[in-house]
Amino acid sequence: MSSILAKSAGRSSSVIIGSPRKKRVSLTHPPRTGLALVTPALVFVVVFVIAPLIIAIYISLTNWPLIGSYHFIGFENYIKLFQDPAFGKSIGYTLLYTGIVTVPIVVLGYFLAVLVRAKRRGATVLRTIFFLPYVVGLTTLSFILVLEAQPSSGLVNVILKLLNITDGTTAWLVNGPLATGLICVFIVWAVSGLTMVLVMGAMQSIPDEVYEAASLEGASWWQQERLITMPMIKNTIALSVIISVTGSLLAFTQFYILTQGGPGNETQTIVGYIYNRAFVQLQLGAATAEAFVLIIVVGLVTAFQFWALREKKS
Amino acid sequence: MTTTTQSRVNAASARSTSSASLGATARTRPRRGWKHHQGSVEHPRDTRLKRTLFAIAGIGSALIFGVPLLVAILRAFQPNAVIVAAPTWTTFWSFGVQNFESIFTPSQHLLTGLVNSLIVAITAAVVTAIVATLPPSLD
Repeated sequence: MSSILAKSAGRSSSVIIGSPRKKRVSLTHPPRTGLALVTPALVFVVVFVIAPLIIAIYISLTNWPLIGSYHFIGFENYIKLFQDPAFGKSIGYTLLYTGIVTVPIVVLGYFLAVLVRAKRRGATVLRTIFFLPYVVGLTTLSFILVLEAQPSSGLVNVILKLLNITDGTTAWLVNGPLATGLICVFIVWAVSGLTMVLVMGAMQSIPDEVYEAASLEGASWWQQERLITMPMIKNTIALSVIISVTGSLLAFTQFYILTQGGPGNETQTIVGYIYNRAFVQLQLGAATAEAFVLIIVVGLVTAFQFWALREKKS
Repeated sequence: MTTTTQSRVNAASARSTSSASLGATARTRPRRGWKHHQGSVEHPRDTRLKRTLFAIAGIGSALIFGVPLLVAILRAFQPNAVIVAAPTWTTFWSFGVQNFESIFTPSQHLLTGLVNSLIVAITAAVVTAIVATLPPSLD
């Protein structure tokens, strides 16, 4: 496509008629050819992206139930939303959870990448092991954790009892702070493999000559790490941070399986709240309005990160 | 100034130890296309300390990441009564295939689900392959 466009652009420039002030018209390539070429893509985007978005905006302005009739209620969903303390609480909880897990995920991912980036014996096996939890998936792992977090029978409690940290009867999933702590540790363990893969790839693309020059200058391992590796993989670290934060803001699976947002709504994330609104209370209009608020929150956070992690001109 | 000299001396000694321990083989057969990185065994500054740290950290992390998954696999072979009871050294190692027998009984419809997933996966792969290799005239 691009080569054809470039060719046609080159050719049409030689047969442009009229003065520069007038619209540039090509005799050999009338505008309708270009229009015909982009139409399939345009139709695809309109049908599958723009139209659903407009319909969703309309649904968020109605009292749309899952079954039955509906009517237009304007911005009532949005007004109710901001008067609902539970929604604000779920946003706060999600931001808290994101704040807790992001730094450990990136730091652990970086550490694992340092461990397996070199071509040592066993490095490939270690890479596989570290990435395995991510491959198995959060749903399966969450179900396993439900089993292992049971008081007295789950292995989490048994191991903590063996280490004399607890008495082994902790009911992790029915206490808000305990469940949050357990889920945070679990998530850091489960998803830092992805950060490891991204960061390791970036580390391996750094030319060795740079390290050679640094070691000739007498730079220590830590100096090379801090002054060469970290600046050169800055963009990849920024990417991992953004992926991790977006994933945490949209966290649902682990909370849905492990706590169902309970006890009460202590561990309710935004997506869990929206899920309840849509598929438990069957209020699709209100749920869609909440989803739009979530989109705005995620968009703002991501935009802030792009701004904060941007390439700074020296 | 003193520290710089000191670290240069350290770097020089590290280089000499590694070249002594690696021997001539690594030098005479340089692998083509492979760039050694900081921490690499083929790196001139790979030291015994680094290798020891790699072994310790690697085994430790592998246990942390691998053991929970291994336990999950073991759990699949335990009878339900063992899973929900407080584990003891005698009961924890009682394995059997009863869970697998029960999920493959016809009333569980696991095979139906597997076949359905297979149909979806193969169809999606075939359609993707066809669409992705459409005649290039559309490009």
